[in-house]
Amino acid sequence: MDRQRRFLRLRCLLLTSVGGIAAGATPSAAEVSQVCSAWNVTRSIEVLTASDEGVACQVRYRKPDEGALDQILWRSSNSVAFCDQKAQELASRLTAAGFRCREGNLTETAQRSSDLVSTGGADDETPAEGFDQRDADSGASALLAESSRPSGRRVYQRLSGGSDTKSHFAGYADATFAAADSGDEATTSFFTATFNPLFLFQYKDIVLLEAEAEISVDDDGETEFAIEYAQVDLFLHDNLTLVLGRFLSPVGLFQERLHPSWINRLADAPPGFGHDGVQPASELGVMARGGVSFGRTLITYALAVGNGPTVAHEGGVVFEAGGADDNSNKAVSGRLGFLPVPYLEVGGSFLVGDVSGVDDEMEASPDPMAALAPSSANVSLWGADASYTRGPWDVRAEYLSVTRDAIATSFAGSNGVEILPDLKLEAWYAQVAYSLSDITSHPVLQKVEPVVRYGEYKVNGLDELAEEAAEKRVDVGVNYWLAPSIVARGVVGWRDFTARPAGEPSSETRYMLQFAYGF
Amino acid sequence: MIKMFGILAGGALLASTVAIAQSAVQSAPDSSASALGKDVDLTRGAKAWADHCGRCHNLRSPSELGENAWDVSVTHMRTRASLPGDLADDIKAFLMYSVQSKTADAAPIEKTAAGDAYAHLKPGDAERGRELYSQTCVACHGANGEGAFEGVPNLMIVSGLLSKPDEILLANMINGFQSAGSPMAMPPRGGNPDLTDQDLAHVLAFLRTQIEEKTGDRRQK
Repeated sequence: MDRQRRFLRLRCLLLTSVGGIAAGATPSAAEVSQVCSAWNVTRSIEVLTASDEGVACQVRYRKPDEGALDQILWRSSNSVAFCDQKAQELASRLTAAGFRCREGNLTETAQRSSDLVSTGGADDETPAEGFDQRDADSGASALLAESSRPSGRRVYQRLSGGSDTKSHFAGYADATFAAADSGDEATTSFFTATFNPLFLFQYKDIVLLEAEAEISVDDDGETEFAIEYAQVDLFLHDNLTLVLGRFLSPVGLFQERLHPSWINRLADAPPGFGHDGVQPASELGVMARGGVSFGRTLITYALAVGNGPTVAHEGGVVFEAGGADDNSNKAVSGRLGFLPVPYLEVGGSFLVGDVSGVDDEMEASPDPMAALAPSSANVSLWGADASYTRGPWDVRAEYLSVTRDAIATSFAGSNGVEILPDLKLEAWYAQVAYSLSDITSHPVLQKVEPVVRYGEYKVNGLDELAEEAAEKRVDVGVNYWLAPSIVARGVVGWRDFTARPAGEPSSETRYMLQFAYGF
Repeated sequence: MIKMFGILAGGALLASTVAIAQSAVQSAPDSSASALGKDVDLTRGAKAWADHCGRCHNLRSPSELGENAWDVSVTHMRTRASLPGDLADDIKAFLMYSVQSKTADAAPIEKTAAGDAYAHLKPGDAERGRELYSQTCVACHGANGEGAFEGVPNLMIVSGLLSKPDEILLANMINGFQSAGSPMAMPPRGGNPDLTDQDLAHVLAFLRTQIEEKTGDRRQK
């Protein structure tokens, strides 16, 4: 209130003095201004009173440091108080945005600012004749200064100031209902929920800390907590970022970029691409990555060195980042992506490393003298992916192939250390989504997006894993986008378990309803 | 072989991390140059935002987050999507400028006793509008107004969006607008807060001449 009173008092004083000087002159005009500064940007808010017919006052907004034309934001035909109030409101908004505002004259401040930023456009003339003058002088000089720059390039100035450290809290959450019908068995149903908070801390343009947790309630009602990733990104060059810590594996696309429920077009992962699948989920180590653009063409790369995969409980391969390496061999993985145009991407991925067999005393051999020693085995992975994301279309396909050499290890159900033969895993899927927004402007229909996906997961060399995981699946779903990052979806999935033993259900129909929110 | 390669690669990456990070910290720009005060290209940023952010997920409205949040969020996505730093800076600038337009610059012109909210604007100059259009609007709307990429509405449809009155169109251009069926919203002033109301009036005049020419062409055919 004090500030507003001072402002109004100053306006009255100026009106009096200018009015006295201009007594007898035909158009009397007065100017009162507040100058607002943030960093090296200065703006002014001026209340102009003029004798133009039908205009009692106007509020002029000037941004000379930014090369902008002056703006008349408000005008009133009968109430100067209206302009005073609007000017004060705008000053308050700028203050809230980080500016410091004070009563004063723009001219000297603008000159000082123009020395700091060469955007130009500082207008030294006092606009005594109201808004008609702005197009004639200040606007022209501003545009001249702007046009001397390369087309479209400007110096961006932060409005709200800027601290060295900035943070942002993001993430996503979802709630899912699923019902499974296996034919001869009773239908089972369950609810699950996940909450994935993501914490981001940035120091200047040098370092970004990222940590995402996953808190979930599974279909057994158990609450689980896990760190999805906790990494430090060092921005060493426009084309090189070094990532340290636990990070999402760069192999393939789904796990790194598509798995959050508000991004994924369906309610679950394709066969073989989930947490326990063939696609590496995370890695613990160091990664170099970046991109190089040539016009609209972009080439991306990622090369990671980390602890690598380990032997799974049932004898398969776990591609989750562990806290400790199971051997001294570091796994090397990476991906090369090529985008000839932004809506078309093709990529190739690889991983090479070793896994070491384990000697689990719980599975002790009945004859210790004849027991085998655990051995190591080579694991190699290669994969390819392609995406077409133009307009309403979202079309994707991925393929991954993993081989693990024969290995001596203990595993669930073994008698001590046994030799497992070569293992080969293959997974692939193709998915098409189409948003109806391109063909209708109906307020409901335009938010609808049908999706269909087919996927397969093949396991050769480990019967226990094949019986549990090998499948062919067709998923058909419908997304309804309440907002760009809020979706309600329904999905029906027809699953054929290709390696189930006789007597167990070989097929299942699963119905899923999901609500997902990315924030 | 794998062991040796892994150790060498890991060692090299860690060593370069320490060396280059030390160098980066020593030559760190002050905060005023951090993403801001850099020479950026808003037009390129607008297009890159639509092109690259839309590769994986739907486009959020620029008004969903504040300046700092966009700064950090786009930095996060720079790593995730392997975007070059200069491209990420352009995207940041576009989004942060859009936020500025919404929070500080988009003071709406209110109707007063004078009547029409835009009565103070001079008639639009189509030639000036053509110049402004080619500097900012062309990034999304394309050279011919029919949309530079999928999802941007075609402005050149007779009896389409441009059939609305000037006052409504100017309000949409000033305050931003979400077209029905479009996955992305047009930010206030096209994401360029330097554009004044009068500039937008010029652009509108240019678009009007374009669609009139189009109508004329059709009549001649």
